[in-house]
Amino acid sequence: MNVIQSFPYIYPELILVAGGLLLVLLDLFISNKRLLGYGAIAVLLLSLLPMNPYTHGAEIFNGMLIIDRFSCFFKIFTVLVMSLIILISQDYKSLMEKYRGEYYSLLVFLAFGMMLMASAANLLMLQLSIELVSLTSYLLVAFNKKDARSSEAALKYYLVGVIASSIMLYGMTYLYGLTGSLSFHDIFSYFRDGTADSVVILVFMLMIMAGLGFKIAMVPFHWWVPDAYEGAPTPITAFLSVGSKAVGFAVLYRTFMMVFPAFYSDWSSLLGVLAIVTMTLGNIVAVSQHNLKRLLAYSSIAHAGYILVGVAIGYTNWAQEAILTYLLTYYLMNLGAFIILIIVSNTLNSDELEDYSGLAQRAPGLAACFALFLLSLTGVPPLAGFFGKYYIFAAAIEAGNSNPFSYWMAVAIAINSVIAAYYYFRVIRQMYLVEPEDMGVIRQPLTLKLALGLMVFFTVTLSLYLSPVAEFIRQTSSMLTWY
Amino acid sequence: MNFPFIPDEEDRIMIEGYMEQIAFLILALFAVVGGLITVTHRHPIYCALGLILCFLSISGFYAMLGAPFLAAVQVIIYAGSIMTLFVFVIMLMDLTREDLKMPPSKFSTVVASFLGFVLLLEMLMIIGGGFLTGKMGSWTPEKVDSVGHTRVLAQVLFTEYLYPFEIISFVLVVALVGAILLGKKKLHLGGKE
Amino acid sequence: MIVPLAHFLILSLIIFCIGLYGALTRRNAVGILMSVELMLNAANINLVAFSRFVSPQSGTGQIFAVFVMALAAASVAVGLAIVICIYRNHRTIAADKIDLMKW
Repeated sequence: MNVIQSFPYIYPELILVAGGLLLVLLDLFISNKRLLGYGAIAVLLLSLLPMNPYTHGAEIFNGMLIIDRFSCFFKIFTVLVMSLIILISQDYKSLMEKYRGEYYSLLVFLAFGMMLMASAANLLMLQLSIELVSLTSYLLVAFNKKDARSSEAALKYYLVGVIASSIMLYGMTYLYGLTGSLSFHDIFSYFRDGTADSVVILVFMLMIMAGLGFKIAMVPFHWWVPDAYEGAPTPITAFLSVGSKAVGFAVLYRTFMMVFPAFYSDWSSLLGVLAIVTMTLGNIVAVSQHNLKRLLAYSSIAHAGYILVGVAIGYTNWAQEAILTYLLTYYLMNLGAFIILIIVSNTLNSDELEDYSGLAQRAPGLAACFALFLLSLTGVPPLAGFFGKYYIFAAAIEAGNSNPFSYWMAVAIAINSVIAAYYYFRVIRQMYLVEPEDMGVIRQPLTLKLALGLMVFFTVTLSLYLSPVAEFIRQTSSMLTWY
Repeated sequence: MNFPFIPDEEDRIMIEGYMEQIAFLILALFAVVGGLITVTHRHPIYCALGLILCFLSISGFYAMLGAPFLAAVQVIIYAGSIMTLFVFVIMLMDLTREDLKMPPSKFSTVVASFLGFVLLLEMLMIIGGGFLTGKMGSWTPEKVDSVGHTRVLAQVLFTEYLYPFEIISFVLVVALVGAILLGKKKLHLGGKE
Repeated sequence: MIVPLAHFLILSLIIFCIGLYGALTRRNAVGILMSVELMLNAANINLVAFSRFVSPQSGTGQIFAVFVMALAAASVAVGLAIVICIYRNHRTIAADKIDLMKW
């Protein structure tokens, strides 16, 4: 499809860009920044209107982008994540009031970049969209510029990020050199027809994996995670752990499924090993953490490991459904946990585990919600998190016939769930069984309560009533376009 | 060989070929030396100068490869503005002697050399394997000349690559907004402390 | 054109490895940034060389190289802004002296 014909397909993106730029302008005239936040949410929700989750797939801009149900799922996901992030930023105290206008518009731009990532089908588009998302994330992590820890976190995140992305770029240049084209389609058909040496391709694949692995915090590229998560403003931490990771998986999955199907056995076993290492390392290090932000950082590394199992399994319908379901449930429970962190740190100015002692007496509702999210993150049976984990587990077992290694992945998931239970329960114990040091009231602003309510509601609803969502996901996920 | 030596067409091509190879070698030497200065010299200003040397020789390669537009852009953007930015920041920070004299740690040197060396060997094997010939295609000097021509490049850029072009301008806007935001100094005027 | 493709690839590889070495061993943030610039330039040499030898009729590689330059400019701007922030907060840019948090 040429440029003119493609425009109807990018209305959501156009709305976001126009809305974001408008916010930058309005910021000059409007002194009540809260309004700008709601404006940003309105822009995001508006961009949902032109989306069609049951689209039949189209390659637009001469194959630069693919609009299919898979990308549409991630676009909706992006809107859900970003509007919630903006909502919970409204009452996050540590942000400087003066720069909130730019903050909200940067978040809208970020949503634009994430949507691009979800549908990129060209190496140039891939690099551009990843850089757009990364650059905006670096800026947002550094946003508390008077806070030394915020800029330190940004520096570490930035340095790892640019190194990873230039390694990825170098790998891409060789793919281009092999095939003479940047589009996924041409590269795919070159590999299908040609007799490319798989050892050589493996080197290029590793280079590309560096850039994508950085986005999803896969193990050799995970060490920015705890510092960036701890130093960043908490809503941005929540974004990094859910939003940026989810689109990272979208890109990883699409790239490997569409470009390298000829080398499936190579990357599948490689990603499988990395998945096991990632989840084990995340869980084991999380056990010894005393800061809740760091704890959630390591736990998010572990969760990336679980989802990576789904990517490693690859082509089965089960695997696709499992990835999407896991991401959706992970979105609910992890964001929920971060909302609690924001509420508590607004009052206590601390994320240390000790300060959560006796939270059940100081704020029973809050503690109950937190316990719910933590149980869900553990994967305790009736809750939403259980279904995510169950799907991944089932996908691994189901793929076992053709790929014996996936049994080992299933075993690793089971063992890791037990380790994870330990540190999640440690937090619950701290809240319920340890006496509080002081009984000061924990202020709970309305917007945060609203966001919290939404998360609790959907976590519970999904636990009791998963089938319509599962059905939607089934229809979505079977529609990843590949050639 | 007759005397006085009058080069015919064949000799001319051969001599041009030699010239080109010699030019390549000299430029390559400059590029590598510039790169080495950048990563080893203690003083940031010398690093920046090394980097400029490297960038300028790379622009020479672009000219050799039939990409005059890129050669110009390389000088203007990289050696011009990006390096100016670097030098400005280095000047602004007035680094103390102590910061400069710190040698790299043994451990990271060993790891980095190992990684770099393995990568070098691996890729040399790949390149040496003659694997990267690709679809050699039907390239003729005329086509190359026309593509290297800025006008043809622009035609592709503004038709086929229009959307990425818009996006990159957007990326620059975002970077601009963010860099101003972070770099601005008077932060105590507004904002809650 | 007498200089073959392999020469350009090897040269770019050497520059890339120098850059990678620098990015891993340099201890101040500006030095790391400069090393990353070397890596990006190595990628650009590849792109232009491939564009000349592999797909001269489309010029794709040259276009990609232009985009990489613009991306590099954007990311250097962001990176240096962060470095200035760090410098204001810590009075140093040595990457391993910045250790409020465990590395």
